[in-house]
Formats: sequence, C-alpha cells, structure tokens
Amino acid sequence: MDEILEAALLFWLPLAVIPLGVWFSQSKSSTFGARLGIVSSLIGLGFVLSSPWTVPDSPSSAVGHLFGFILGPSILMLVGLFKVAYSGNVPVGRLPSSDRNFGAILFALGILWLSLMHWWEITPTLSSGELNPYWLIFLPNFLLSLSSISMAAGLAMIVYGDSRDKESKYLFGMSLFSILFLLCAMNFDSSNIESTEFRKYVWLSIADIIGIAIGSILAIFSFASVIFVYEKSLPKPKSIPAPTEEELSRVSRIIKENIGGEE
Amino acid sequence: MPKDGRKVSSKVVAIGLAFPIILVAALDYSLNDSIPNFGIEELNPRVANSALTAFILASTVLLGNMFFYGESRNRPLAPIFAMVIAVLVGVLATIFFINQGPMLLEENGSVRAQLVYNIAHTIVSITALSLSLLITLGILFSVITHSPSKISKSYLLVEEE
Repeated sequence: MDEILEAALLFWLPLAVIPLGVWFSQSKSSTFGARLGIVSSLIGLGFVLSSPWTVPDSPSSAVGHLFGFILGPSILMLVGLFKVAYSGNVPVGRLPSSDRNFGAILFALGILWLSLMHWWEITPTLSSGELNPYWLIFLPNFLLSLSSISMAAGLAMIVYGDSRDKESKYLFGMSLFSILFLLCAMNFDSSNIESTEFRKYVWLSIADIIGIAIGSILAIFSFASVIFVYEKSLPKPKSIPAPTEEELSRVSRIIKENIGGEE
Repeated sequence: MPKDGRKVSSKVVAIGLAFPIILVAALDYSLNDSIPNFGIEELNPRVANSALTAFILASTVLLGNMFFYGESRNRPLAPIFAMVIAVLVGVLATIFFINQGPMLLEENGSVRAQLVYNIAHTIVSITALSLSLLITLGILFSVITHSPSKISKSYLLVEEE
C-alpha cells in the first residue's frame, strides 16, 4: 500500500474518529449512538497508539508514540486528583477518606514520572534512536499552560471566591512548580536534552500559544458573526393579542386555588 | 460585587494568565545569551502557522455546534454553509500563505508536509493545554472539597444566635 494512504488509513482517520466518537457519545436522544461513539473513540485511540508499529515510516506516527508515552503519567495524575476530590466533602458518590492519601500519592507519582521523562533516561525516543520531536513541543507547552492556568485560577479564587485565600495557595504552588521546572530545564542540561535546545522550544511554545489564542478567537468571532447575521435576517415572530379581562380573572382564580401548601 | 469591581477582577485574572509566560520570557532574556541561529525569523512563522491551524480546527469544532444550532432552528442550512465557508477560507488562506515561498514553510520541504506538520503540532499543543486545564480543575475541586463548607458554617452561626 502507498505510504501516504497507509498513514491516512491507520493514523489520520482513527485520529479524526476520536473527537467524532466523543461528539456522538454526548448524544442524549440515542443510547446506541452514545455507545457507538465511546466504542469508536476507543478503537480510534487504539489505532493512534499503535501507529509506531502500524505506520513506522510515517513522521506522523511520532504523535502516536508521544501519546503512548504520556498516557501513563496523565492517567495517574487525573485518577489521583479524582480520588482526592471525591474523598472530600461531596454530596454524592463520596469515596472513603483513605482515598485522599492514595490519590495524593498517585498524583505525585504522575508528576514524578513526567519529570523523569525529561531529566532521566526515559525520554520518549523513536526506534531510529532520535528524540521524539513532539515531546519537545508537548513539555514546554504543558508547563507554560499549567503555570498560566493555575495562576489565573488561583487569582480567580481570591477575587471571586469567599475567603478562599488558603485554597488558592495550592494553585499558586502548582504554578510556581511549573515555572521553576521550566527555568531549571532552560538552564541545566538533562541526560537527553540540552538546555539551549530546550530554550529554543520554550520560545517556540510561547509563539505557539499566542498563535492558538489568535486563531481560536478569530474562529469564535466568525462563529458569533454567522449566528448574529442569521438571527438578524429572521422575520420577527408574530405577536399574540394581550389577555382579556376574563382570561386574567380566570388565571388569578386558578393561582389562588393552588397557592400555598400543607403546613 | 459592583460592576467596576468585577471589571478590575477580570483584568487581574487575565493578567494572571499572561504573567508566568512573560516572567519566564523576561528571566530567560536577561539571564541567558541569545540562542545561536534562532530569532524572530523562526518565531513569526510559528505564530502564523499556529494561528491559521487553530482557526481551521476551532472552526471545524464550531461547525459541529452549528449543526445543533441548525437543528434548533428547524434545520436551516444557511448557518452551516456559512461556517463551512469560514473553514474553507482558513484552509485556502493557509495553502496560499504557505505557497508564498519560505515565509511560512518551517523546516518542511513541501506545502503538504507543512500542512500535516501544522495539524500534528497543533494537536500536540492542544493536548498539552487540555491536560494542564484538567489538572488545574482537579486541584481546584480537590482543595474546595477538602475545605470547610461555607454554607454549613454560616448556618451554624445562625443556629447559635
């Protein structure tokens, strides 16, 4: 089979099926459609993760390779946070309080795993022996966005919340951790990545985040414009005549009969 | 909260979003020497490619929402067509700009290679952004559910009175 066709069928098509499946899984009108959506998303994810073996010659398979590497720490961190959140003061689905410590350990292990992927020998490396180029895009983007979003969330807790200063410290701590990680990686070489190379990718990530923000804002603006223009072009709905005195007194009588409750 | 106070608060949160990025850039700029063979010529194409690709991907996602909007309006096709045109404008603009020589062609040899690279690059960046957003939300909910409830506290105070 042609190399491009192989990449399209075994990588890009399954990758496109993932969001499509998630979209279908949100359907409330059909249970079958929702189940089909979940199953197709999982199959798509399986194909994407196995792309380093199915389409090893395609450069796009490096994305599947990266996803395979970050899947473990991501699951650990998210499951850890889920356990911590639901072992607290929640009205439904509360987990045992011992899950709080277990969740915190899982989260710390996930962070440690991700950190070691930069500093130690377990950096995502392709079968050709070279470093996965998408890892150098993922890590600076992840750390920069984590520092920014945590900082903004911490500030939002203070300015919008009611005496949430103590809680916001955890978010500021996360933001500070990310900034320190970035600064260390930009100044000290790790076992596989030189600090100068990492600095270059951090600057490219800043450019990337600015570009994503501009592109997304433009897309939302065009979406809003389309709706605005379309709604404006619609004819005004027909007004119904005002209620008569007789109708008003009937409504008052019904309300009077039904108002109140058993004491 | 007064309207002016809310405006100031929103600005503080928006500044908080940009502050760590500015801090890292400023510290690196003042602490380290310039990176060899790397400058604004390498950064500009990344901003442009990223903006064009994000526009196409975000428009495609919003096109899906437009389907539901059309459904609520007895399936008129006009807004869907308009959004399809918006996506096509993005795709054509990307192809046009990449075709203008090496301006937007980063380290790739052809327009097709650059387009595929742009999409893969943006997917990885959006994955990183989404993961960081999920982690922040997780921490936020964890600290809120483990702090004393404000509702029960105020209720107890009323009870004591």
